[in-house]
Amino acid sequence: MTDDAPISCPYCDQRFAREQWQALHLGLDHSDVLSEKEREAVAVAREEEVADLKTFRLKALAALVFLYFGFLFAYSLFA
Amino acid sequence: MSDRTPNTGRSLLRRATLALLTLTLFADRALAHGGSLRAATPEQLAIPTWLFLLTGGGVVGASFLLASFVTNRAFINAVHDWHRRLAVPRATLAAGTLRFIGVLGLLAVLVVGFIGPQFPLGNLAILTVWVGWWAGYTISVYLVGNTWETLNPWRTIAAVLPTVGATYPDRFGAWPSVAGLLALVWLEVVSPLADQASLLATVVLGYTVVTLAGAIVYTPDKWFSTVDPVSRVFTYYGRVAPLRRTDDGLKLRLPGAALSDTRFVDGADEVAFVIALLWVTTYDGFVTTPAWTDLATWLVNLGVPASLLYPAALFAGFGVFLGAYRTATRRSIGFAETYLPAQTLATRFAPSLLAIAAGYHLAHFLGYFLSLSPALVTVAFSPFSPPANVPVIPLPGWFGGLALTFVLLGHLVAIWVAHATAYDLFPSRLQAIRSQYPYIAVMMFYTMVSLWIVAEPDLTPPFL
Repeated sequence: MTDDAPISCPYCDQRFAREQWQALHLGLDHSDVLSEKEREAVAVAREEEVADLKTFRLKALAALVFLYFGFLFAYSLFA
Repeated sequence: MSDRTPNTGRSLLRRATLALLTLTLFADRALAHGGSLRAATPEQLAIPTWLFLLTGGGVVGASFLLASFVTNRAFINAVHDWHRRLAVPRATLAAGTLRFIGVLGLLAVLVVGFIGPQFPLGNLAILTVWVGWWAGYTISVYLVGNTWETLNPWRTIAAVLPTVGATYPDRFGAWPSVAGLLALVWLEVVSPLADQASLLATVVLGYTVVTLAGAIVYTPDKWFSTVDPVSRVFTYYGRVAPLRRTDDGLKLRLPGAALSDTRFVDGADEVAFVIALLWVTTYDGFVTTPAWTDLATWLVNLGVPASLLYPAALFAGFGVFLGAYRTATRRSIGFAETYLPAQTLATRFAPSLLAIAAGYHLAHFLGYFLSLSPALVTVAFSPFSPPANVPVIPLPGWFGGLALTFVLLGHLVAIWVAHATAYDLFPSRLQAIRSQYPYIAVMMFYTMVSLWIVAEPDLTPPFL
């Protein structure tokens, strides 16, 4: 839970901690009723999300490599 | 281990019990191989225990990382929404046959349990309950579909009894079924239910009286859908299965796909039942560990009454498992920075654990069922004069590896279900990934506890 005031969805009763998430929600659940401005916000949020996901994928890959070699060494030492 | 006397009250059949998630280790003396995870993990592990546990946790974590690479919402939805409708007419004849088999089975258990031969492998009551019903039938529930509503002999009998139709106090919710499940497992752990046929029949009779009384007072529908722990176990396991009966025939989905549906588990009481389902299996194995023997001995020396030990351990462990899950829910809200109520997260993520429970059950009971099913069939043809040498199938050595595969499969399904659920709950895909961290940590914890029990030597529980 964040300390900032929640950002409400204008079309339903959901609330979000970040502008980006509210925009993504609009794109997912209310894509048929959006204004032009909201559409732009959704597009921007989606681009940001894809960039964030790319970063996360790299981290996840690093974690997998670390796990793999960690276990490889552990087994070569202890098994 | 092998020098344990066979009459310790924990023979092969004794171990195969209400252990639902059984990474419980039961090494059986009656068979060459029990097909339990025991077979896969010999008494002396080739690697240090900590590495064994860490590997189990690592596999769960790595599976989560791999699942997080799947970020295409359309693909995830397609997987979960995929279904085929099979136009099967309401088969009245098949339903009638199932009901008949159910009632016949119940009668057989009661009659043979009381007056049949009393050695476990030659007693139809014991074989029917543990091999036919708890191993074989339960496997069919989560691999194919839940037929318990039709097969359930108590429901069939209750249907022809009058009903009072008292109002069930809604504030109780599913809590009585949680208590009932814990009570049944406690009974199974502290008494030789799989060795003494007459005792088993007595317990079945007691369960029959309570169940029918409840059905008469609160109507069968209310009783079996809410209070009866056995029905609830099958309802939950049935959710893992690909087939479900709907109003217009059968609906086929991918195994586990139904677990991510909304409003399946509803409320703190039902979450508690899912956790209880996981915990009771662990408990059954926990009481055979040397650690438990030491702890119990120490407590008894302190002056704790021995009779309190087992119920106390049952509740304490359940508390730890439930506490871990609730903590995970709270942390998940923090990680995902969401305004969704904790209740929503807890109820939506709980069903994924059922896949793990089913995986453990299959790992444990498939080999058990296969090796003992000839005994069941043979004894069924002559319940009162079984042959002196009841046939059993010895399982090949590689079966233990198969058991570990089932455990792994259960985890993979659970992680996938949690992944799909998170995508359904949160608009941001990164938020969805973060929300799962605590739940994955809890899955690791449950897994490592189970693996620790597997790796420990198997002792006879003390003070029983």
